[in-house]
Order: sequence, then C-alpha cells, then structure tokens
Amino acid sequence: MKYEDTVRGSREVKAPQVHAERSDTMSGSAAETIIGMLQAVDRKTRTSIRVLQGVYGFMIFLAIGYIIANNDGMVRAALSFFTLAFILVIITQQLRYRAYSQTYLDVPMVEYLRRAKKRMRVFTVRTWLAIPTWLFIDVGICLFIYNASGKFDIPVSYIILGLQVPLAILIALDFLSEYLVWKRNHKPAVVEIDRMLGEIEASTIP
Amino acid sequence: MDKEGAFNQLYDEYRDRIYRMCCYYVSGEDDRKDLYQEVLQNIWKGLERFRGDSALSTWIYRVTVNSSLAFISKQKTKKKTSVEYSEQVQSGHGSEERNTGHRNIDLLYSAIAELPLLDMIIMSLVLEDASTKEIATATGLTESNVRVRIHRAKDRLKDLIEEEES
Repeated sequence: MKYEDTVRGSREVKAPQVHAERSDTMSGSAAETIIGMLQAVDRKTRTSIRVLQGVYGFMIFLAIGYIIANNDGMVRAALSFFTLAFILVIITQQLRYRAYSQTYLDVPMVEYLRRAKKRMRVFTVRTWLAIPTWLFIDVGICLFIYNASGKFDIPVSYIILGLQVPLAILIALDFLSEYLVWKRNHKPAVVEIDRMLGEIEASTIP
Repeated sequence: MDKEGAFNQLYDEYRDRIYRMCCYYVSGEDDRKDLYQEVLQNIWKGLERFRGDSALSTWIYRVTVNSSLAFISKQKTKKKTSVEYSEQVQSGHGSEERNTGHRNIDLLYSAIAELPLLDMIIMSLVLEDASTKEIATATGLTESNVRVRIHRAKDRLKDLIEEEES
C-alpha cells in the first residue's frame, strides 16, 4: 500500500455530530445545535461566577447598611472588616472569571505550553488572596467578641487567642485542600508539559 | 458578522479538518469526540479575540494544536496505539472496500502516534493541507525549519506505515 493511498483515505473521515441527542429538542442545522451546546456550557460557568459575586455584593450592601445604621464604633469596625473580606472574595471570583475568559490558545505552541504551566502552578494569586480574606474575617469576629466581652466570665483575651487556633487550622486546611487538588489534577499535567517542552526544544535544536 | 454567524461559517468549513486533527492526537472514539468538543468550545470562546492578524485557518490550527496539547497533557501520557474507528469513514460502498479504508486510516493514526511530538504536530497540519507559512505560524518555528522537518517527518511516516503494514 502506498503512503499516498493511506493519506487520501484519511481525508474521508468526517466529523461526528456533537451531542446529536439534543437535535430533537432544538430546531435548526447541526451548527445551530452545537452553538446552543457551546453557549449553554459557556453560560453555566460565567453565570455561576456572577451569581457568587452577586451574593457577596448583596452581603456587602447589607453590611454597609448596618455600618451606617449602627452607632457602636466597635460593631462598625467589625462589619468594615467583613466588608473588606467580601470585597476580596469578589476580586478572587473576578480573577477566576478573567482566567476563564482568557484562553491564550491562539499563541505559538511553546508559548502556550509555558503559559499553561504557569497557570497550573500550585498556588496562584487567587490562592494567596485567601490569607487576607481569612484575616479580615478573623479581625471582624475578634472585634465582635471584644464588643460583647462584658457577657463572658473569662478574660476576652483568652477567647480571642483561642479563636486563632481554629482559624489557623482553617487556613492550613484551605491550603492543604488546594495542594491536594493540584497534586491530583494538575501535577501530572505539569510533568507532561515539561516533558513536551523538553521534547519540542530538543527537536528544534539544529 | 455576529459571533454566531462567524462560528456557523467556520464550523461548516473546518469541522471535518478539526476532527481529523483531533484523531491524529488521541486514540479512542470517546477521547476524540471529547477533544473535538473542547476545540470547538475553545474556538467559540476565543472567536471574539480573533482580530484577523493572521488567516482564520492559521488561527484555527493554532487553537486546535494547543487544545490538543493541553488535552494530551491532562491525559498524563500520550497514547501510542490507535484503536477502533468506524462510523465517520465514508469510503467506498462495498464492505471490503470500506474495511480496507478503515484499515488504512488506523494504520496512518498508529504511525503518526509513533512520531516524535513535534513531527506529529507538523504532520497533523501537513495532512490537512496547511501551508508551510501556516505551520510556521501555528508552531512558532521558522519556515525553513518547517520545510526541513516536513521532509524528515514524511519520510519517517512512510517508513512507519510500511513497517506497520509488513
């Protein structure tokens, strides 16, 4: 058999209908069907991020309302720290939205692989934003406790110090879970990208 | 033209080429369909960013190659064998002719999977009639480098097909 025959034969391969089972519920051509599917997937991701931002935006709105309405300086300070934490959550989600929107797929392959590797690093800006978020929540809770300290029998400093232990555990668990997810989902891909880059670079040396 | 109109046009013109390129990178019908869907999804997402700096075909080749590399990296290791292939081949009318067609295509996919990664990428574009310039733009190599590589990769592919056949 000739190389040319084999290559000619491969040209007869046609693309399958993607999600053909949707075609009975949607009118129009195959292209319209696939557009419906692509729009649905895209919309789902974007909407889930926007909903989350909306929820935290509403919480900020409520917190600001309480800040304006409340005369107690300590409560206002506590709510201000919560507001800052919520703003950081919104920023984190915005970074997620941006990362989803920017695909970087239309660049030369070596550059794409390098970018993909960078995007798959274990701790990103989004991960590091978790630390100030947790700290603002912590300060907010501490201020609330301090404000209500008259109701406790034990010194308020012990309660506040004791609170730092579960908080430290929470932050550690947050980072640990992030690392474990990365190790399972991204580490093998990063190793494979390194191998690909090595193979491509070795091939391009004249 | 709006995004949907542009995608419709692009889909009609390139879907078979995109799918065939997916077939060069992964084996198994499910994986090929998954990759094909992922490429379409990425094209849909990136279409608004396409400013026409390069030809549309070059842009599609880039997105397809990069999506395929990302897909392969997620699969941990590149699969080395080509497996079942059936429904989408429209060659011949008789069963014998059709079987020969399937066998040839399986042979080609197996041989491509044996090539080094860069040659595999280049051959996937060559087989879809991409020009040297388009391949250079998609891969980031120089045109002269691409020409040399095409020549070597074709020879290697011919040898592999002959080996597999024998």
